[in-house]
Amino acid sequence: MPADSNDNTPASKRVERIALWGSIPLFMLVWQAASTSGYVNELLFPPPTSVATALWNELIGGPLVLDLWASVTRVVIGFISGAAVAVGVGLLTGRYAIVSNLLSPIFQLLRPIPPIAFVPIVILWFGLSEWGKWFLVFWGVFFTVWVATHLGVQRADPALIRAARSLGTPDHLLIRDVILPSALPTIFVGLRTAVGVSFYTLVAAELAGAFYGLASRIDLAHQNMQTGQMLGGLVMLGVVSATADRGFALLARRFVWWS
Amino acid sequence: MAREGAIRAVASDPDARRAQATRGHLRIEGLRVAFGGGETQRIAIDQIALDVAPGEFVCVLGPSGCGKSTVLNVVAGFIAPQAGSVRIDGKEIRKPGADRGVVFQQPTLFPWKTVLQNVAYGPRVGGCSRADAERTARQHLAMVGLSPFADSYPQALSGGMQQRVGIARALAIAPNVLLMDEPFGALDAQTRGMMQEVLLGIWENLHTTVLFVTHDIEEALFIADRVVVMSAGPGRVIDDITVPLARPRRAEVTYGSEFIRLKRHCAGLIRAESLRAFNQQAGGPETKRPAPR
Repeated sequence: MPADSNDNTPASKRVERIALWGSIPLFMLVWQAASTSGYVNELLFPPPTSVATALWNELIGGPLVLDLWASVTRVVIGFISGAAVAVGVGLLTGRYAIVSNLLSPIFQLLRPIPPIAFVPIVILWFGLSEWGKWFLVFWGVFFTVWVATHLGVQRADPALIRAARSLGTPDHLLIRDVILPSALPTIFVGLRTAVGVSFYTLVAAELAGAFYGLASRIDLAHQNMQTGQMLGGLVMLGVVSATADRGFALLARRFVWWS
Repeated sequence: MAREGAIRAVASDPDARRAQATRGHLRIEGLRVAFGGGETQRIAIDQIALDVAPGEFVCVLGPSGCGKSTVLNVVAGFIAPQAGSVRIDGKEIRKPGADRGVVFQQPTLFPWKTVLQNVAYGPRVGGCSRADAERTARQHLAMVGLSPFADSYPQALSGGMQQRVGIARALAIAPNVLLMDEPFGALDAQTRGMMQEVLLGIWENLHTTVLFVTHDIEEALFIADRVVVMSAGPGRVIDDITVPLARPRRAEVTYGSEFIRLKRHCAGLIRAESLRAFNQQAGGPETKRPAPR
């Protein structure tokens, strides 16, 4: 339905709701039909029923929970540490020109290097230990959140800073009381982007070698030609990162209620 | 803490409020502010002198771009002058501080704080306990007639209501001098008239020293004890008019012959100044300003 004919009758509302709830089942049906049509090799492109069976078997007798746990903890540890350091550093570079002049050129040079390119050297540094995975996720999250915090601080409304100073706010409280809350909406945009970034650096880190993890399972299934498990791993990655993103959007609405 | 005590005393005791009129003596001498440097330097204000008695309400009136807001920003401590001094009760101003309350043209309320938290912020950062700060804030919200909106967020309020919160916030720190930078300039005519009466009502109770910047002649004559008229490029004081209208003033005063005589006088001054500034600009950017006599 084109957007401009969007009338609000109950009937059209119902159709819109059906479209929303029918979206993913429709996708499954098309996928099922395509896989079983005979035009494609079902072994290479298994239907959702095979993928579901593979996932179920992994869940009851296999390593799905361990994989999920390993991947999620890596993301959480890398994300929280990267975000915390980035917000702290971003507040300083955004607020103090001398800190910015010292650090920004270095960050701007390192930031465009895709985190994936660090995988070989990270393996040399950390081996296959968890530290390597945490480091890669940290690296990806750090630059995304740093840029957002830096910009958010620099765009903090100078009128609000003046107002706070006129009310007697000492300089050391300005960051906590005015600049951080002013920058928070921008910081949250950065944090949400970083959720996505942390998942793709996770995949790179796990593909390089890990004993458990959703992406390392995909790699293992690939070597055994278990296409159902491979697609199952992709589905799990999609579900987990989409859930994280939605959860984060709700969190953002709670933390930056004014924007 | 001394200031904490002062805020509490002033908020609760009307006698202390009247006694406050002995504080807030603002003295500006030989003030000069220039923006930029070298060839492109532009002198915004020069040789500004102004003496505001404790409890006096003074308007600075002038055409746009005459530097009247610059004067206020120096007094607020936001801009450092090239020459001259600003003293409040003999103490030289160097940076912003809670001895002066500032109301800006935009309400500049903290959007993440409720109305009550906005007003309580100043006393809180000045050292009051949370309970004392909230009590002071509630008293000042009542003063501007916004008690029912204490727990609303500023975005939910109209422009005029937000500006009333801004006034309550500036007064909650019990400043010796209240600085107002075209605070009603962004409001519609009806709201503006109402706000002027609200402000006068509050001032007649508190008798805080007020320095009020505006380009609106009627507004200046209606609210002020004295109107200081400024010229443009560079801004200087060209007239200092005592407004002899009795207080408390009501809107009817603006129809009286004395009011109209003063209005005509101010309008003549401002018109001559605006014309001079216009011709200066029309002469092109290279035109040198005539050497000062």
